[in-house]
Amino acid sequence: MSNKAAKTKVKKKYNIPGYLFILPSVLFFLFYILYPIGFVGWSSLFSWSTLKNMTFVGTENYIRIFQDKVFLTTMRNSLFWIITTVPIQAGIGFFLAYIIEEQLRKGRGIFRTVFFLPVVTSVVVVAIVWGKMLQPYQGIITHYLSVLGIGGQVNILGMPGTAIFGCIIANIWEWTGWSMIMYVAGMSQISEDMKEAAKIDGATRWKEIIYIYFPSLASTHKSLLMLGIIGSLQTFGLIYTMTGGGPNHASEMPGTYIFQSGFTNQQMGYASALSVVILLFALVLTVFQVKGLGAGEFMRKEAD
Amino acid sequence: MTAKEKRKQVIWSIVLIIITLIFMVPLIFMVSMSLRTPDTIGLPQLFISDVTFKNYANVLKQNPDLWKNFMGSVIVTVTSVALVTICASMAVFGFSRKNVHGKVLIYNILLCTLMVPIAGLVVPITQLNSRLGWINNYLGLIFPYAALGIPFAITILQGFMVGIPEELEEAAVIDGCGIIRLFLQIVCPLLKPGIVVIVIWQFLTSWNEFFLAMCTLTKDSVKTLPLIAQQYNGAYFSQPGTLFAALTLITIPMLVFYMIVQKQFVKGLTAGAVKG
Repeated sequence: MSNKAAKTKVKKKYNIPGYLFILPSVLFFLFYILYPIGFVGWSSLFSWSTLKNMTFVGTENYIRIFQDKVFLTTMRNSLFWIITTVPIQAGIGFFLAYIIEEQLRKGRGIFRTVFFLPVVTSVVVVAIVWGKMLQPYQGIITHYLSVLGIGGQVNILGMPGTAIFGCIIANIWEWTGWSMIMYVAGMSQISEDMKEAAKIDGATRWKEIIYIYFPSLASTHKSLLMLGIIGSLQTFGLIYTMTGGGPNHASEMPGTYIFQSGFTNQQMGYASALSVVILLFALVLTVFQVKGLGAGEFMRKEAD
Repeated sequence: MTAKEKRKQVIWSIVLIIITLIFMVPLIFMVSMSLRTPDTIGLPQLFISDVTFKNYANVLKQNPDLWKNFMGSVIVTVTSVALVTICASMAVFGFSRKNVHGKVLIYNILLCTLMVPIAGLVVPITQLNSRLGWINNYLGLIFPYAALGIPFAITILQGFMVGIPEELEEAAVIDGCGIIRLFLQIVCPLLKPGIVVIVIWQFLTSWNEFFLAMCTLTKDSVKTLPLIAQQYNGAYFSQPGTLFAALTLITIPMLVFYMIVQKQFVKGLTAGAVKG
């Protein structure tokens, strides 16, 4: 009984230094995440270009979003983006990580570094270089493709049907190294015992990959998927530099469309409404992931 | 090593070298373009025979302020990295303390913003910056970058914090170690592998951020390097050689930085439970 009393006494005490250590992060959160989110939600109910000149329009901006064909294009492009970049980056990244970590004895560091270099390269630089490579006549990609007899001198970034895929290829090149390094980290956590056991049981390389590596890396797959989805929502520099969202909005993504609406067309209210929709998507996904990963669990245990 | 194993190593190495060469084409192309004369610039080839360094001289001669932009990028990046590192490691230490009620709630709320896409916040943050008079001021980038980076950094560091045995801290307290010394001298060194990961990750994000920077920095002399690259893309439309020389110059510092720190980065990644 005395033990219990002591416990409640301790529980009531507040650990002031503990709170002070958390404070800076909370302040950043309040000023630069919570306040902007509140502001964008509020301002999405107005029609405005500057803060001095706002007219209340209620939900008009949101109604417009659901009738907007360009918004539909951004959603379709995001979907293309996710279903192409995520599996391809993960697939190549996994393959590279497997060879480098599990098959190679020498030169691991060199290969890991080389494949990560595109991640380190500025997205604008990536966009300009790929834009040049994809140019007809002067670009090397179309040139070598036509030498091989595949396609003529096509203007990949200039045609509505293909522009988005030109950007997707550049994105895959840039981010495959990130997937690789995440898989490298994941593979280092797989226990040697399990690999040994598989070898003793006479598992072939494919069986080993499918039954040992693939399931053991579940959390890596999941976080790459989440990062890929969020990445598609915030892609901006690549599209802005390579196609500007064109031709005729064909390669528009949420990020570029927000910029176009708010900063080019001066419809800040509409841009705010678009931002709210994007933020909601992100929030739903994050809650989903946080729940899936069971983050915060360890602290709940301690608090009991 | 048996002969069979040796052969396997050689085959895997060759496969990797081939993939590496294909993978490096864009970077090779960039450097190759920067070394060309106006006669060879339009040729759709990866390699050319005669090389000139005139393009680099042009860039440096025509843009004497380029170093200012470089310094701008350095200031924005280093300060935001420092803020993220300090705030996040303080926060995870705070979360590990007893009697901090409501910490699970705070942690979960911070976690919900783990993946806030910056695209969704550019409109309000730009408004906030203009009201504070921080257009063309690096603070208008440093604070938002820090705020958006902290949640991710906290999740990474939390993985390392959980691994620190409580007895160690208790022993330190019994030895008369105050809370600030406990944090600086006991906990921070133990968090080091995680700190390396977040420093490098935040460095990459801040150094390369483009969207918010474009809406916040309008004056040429304060622009960060990604904006400068974008600007040269228009300005040197008819001089691709000079453009690509500029791009190469912009890219090199980051490549060198990563090559220096990559060992620590991979070590940090593989040491901790990187869940997120």
